[in-house]
Amino acid sequence: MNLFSQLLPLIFSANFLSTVIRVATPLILCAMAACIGKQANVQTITYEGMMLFAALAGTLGTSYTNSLIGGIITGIIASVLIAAIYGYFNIYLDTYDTLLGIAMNNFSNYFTIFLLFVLIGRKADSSTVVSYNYPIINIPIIKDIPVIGTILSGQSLVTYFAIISVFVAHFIVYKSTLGLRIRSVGRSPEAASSLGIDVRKTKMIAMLISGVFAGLAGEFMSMSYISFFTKNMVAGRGFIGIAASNLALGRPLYGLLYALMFAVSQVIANQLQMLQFTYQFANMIPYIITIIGLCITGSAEMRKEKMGGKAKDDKKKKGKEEVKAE
Amino acid sequence: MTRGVYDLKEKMKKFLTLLLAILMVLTLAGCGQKEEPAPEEPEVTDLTGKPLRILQFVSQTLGSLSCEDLVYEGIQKFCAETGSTVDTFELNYDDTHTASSLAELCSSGKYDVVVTGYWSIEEYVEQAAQDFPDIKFMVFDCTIDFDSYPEIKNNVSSYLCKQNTLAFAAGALGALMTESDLELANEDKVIGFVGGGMITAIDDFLIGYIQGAHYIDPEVKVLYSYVGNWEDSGKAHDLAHDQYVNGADVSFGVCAPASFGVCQAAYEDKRYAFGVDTDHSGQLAISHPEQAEYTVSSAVKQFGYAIYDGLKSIYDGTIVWGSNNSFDFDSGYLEMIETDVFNKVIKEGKPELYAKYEEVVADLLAGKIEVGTAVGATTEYVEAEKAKADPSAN
Repeated sequence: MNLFSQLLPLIFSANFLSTVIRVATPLILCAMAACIGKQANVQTITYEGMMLFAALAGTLGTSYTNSLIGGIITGIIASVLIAAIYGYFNIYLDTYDTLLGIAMNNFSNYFTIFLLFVLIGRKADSSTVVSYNYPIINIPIIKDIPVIGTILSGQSLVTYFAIISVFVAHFIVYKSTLGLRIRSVGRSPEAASSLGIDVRKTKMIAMLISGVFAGLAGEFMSMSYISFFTKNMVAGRGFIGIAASNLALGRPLYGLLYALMFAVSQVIANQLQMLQFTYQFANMIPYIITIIGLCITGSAEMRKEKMGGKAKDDKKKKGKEEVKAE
Repeated sequence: MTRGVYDLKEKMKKFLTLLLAILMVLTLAGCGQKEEPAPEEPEVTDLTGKPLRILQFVSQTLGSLSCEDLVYEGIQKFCAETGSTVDTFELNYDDTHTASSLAELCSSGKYDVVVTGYWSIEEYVEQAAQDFPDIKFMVFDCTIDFDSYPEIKNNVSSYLCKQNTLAFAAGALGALMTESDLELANEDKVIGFVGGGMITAIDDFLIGYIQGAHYIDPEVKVLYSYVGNWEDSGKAHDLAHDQYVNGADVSFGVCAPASFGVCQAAYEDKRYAFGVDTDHSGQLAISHPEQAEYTVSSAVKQFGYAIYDGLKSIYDGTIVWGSNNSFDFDSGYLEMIETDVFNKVIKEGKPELYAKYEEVVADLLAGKIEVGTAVGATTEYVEAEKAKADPSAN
């Protein structure tokens, strides 16, 4: 109880919320990437690898091109490239997605270190290379309002990108022709194909778009969170983004909500640690929440299917059998 | 369609059979080689005055800001002076290959001395030293159990730096800073500590840090958190930021390379930071000079010097094998490095603070202060010591 009373003032503070927003930024961007992937039914865990590559390419890009824009573009290209490689293997060559994802993540983890060593002769970080960061944005009027100012103003440019990205993702998925195609390809590739949609191409495009979002998430790590690349710095954030998108069932607005929820639990875990709460347990909290969340959405889905989808299921099964028979 | 799949399966089967056959042949060939006695030159038991063939067996990786790099520098210096040669082998954190790689390299007959380190290597060295009595092992940051394995007393020597005394100096410096009227110091008597994980070495740091702070003022509160790994610099940044927001003037990041996150937080929150293992502010000064200003000092265990001296004593024939050499503050192997930033902020900025810090260091050097340690201590002791971090709670 004592712990709780100590924790409350820490939580109800402007600092808490501004930290949550900073922690949430990569999670939101990655969740958007994963949402689009999920809509197209490309279930990949490679976002971790994309982010890592973007983190390295972004920070080194700024130093080689000597401009921030150059770095941003290099980072996104790197991430999209990984997405394209994954897409080619998974969508065109039909590789098993989990295994490919693990392989790509391991590849990214070690290949970034290899690149770092080849390019600047270090194996842990790029702290000796001059690089640029995303600017901190101070919004003119809002920054002077006491609490809201600390929360909304003074965040990195990527954070504002992240918030915009939610609406962009929502627009792409629900309001654009491409989104309609992505969704139809994700739900029923046979039907989409019968209507003349190139299933593989659409999936690939979805993958590339999610590569852009994941790239921004990675760049945030090395160009805003910290000012340089340190090895394996993404440290599981990609997986949390994937979890958020799964909880949200691929809906970007819900994805934002779940990403924020993870950020809140992470920050609370950090605060708990400082109050000398058992650290192993504190570090567990975000993951426990993931499991509980997945259970809840999973059971809700099942109930939905039981109630409304019996007839549909039968049809689906029949459809599948027919396809197999062909 | 089915026909195609069948063909593929058949092909796969054939391929796998072939692969298996090749593997078996190779394994047999491998065994055959090992059984043959290696064409070895006469036993070299006396290494005095001869150039050594050294192997640095790196359990982590080089170029990762850890002690391994310092050791490598030390070995290279020795090689340059004596004409010895050094090979390095990096395990890249993969513990599963430790035993086999070490055995293979030792049996190659190419090396006289193996230099390796870290606590995780202990059992492997104890085993390898029994199997290869002709090879000398120098181990750093690790204690060897000579009582259980008396037969390895002739070829193993370990070097241990007392990180708790080093952290004691850091804690004392931190406490002096939080009480001072330094430009960026606030009024709260609070300092921070961000560790990599709850392991003995880190807790040893923490206990020393707390005791050092309380040596200056028993009312200083130490906030401590653990990242949970050594790579998540973002999380290290968040943890340090929370400490700064809660009144810490300085945070000690003991989680290299993630401790750069602590330096970043210090820069953003305009507070002070201490680094670990290598000169953090010196590295930052190259690329991000504005950030380097806030990283006052770094706690460095100079195993490079220790190993250099050890190798030198082999060369001179003065080495004593079979001992755990534990270096205290007076050895000169431990230091809170006095960087440009340190000189600017502390030495020239606050001479009276520096004088007090010098006193503490002098006391440590003279061995006047008994610093508690987590090495070999019971969990209860460690927990009790850590509970003292917040004096107001007791």
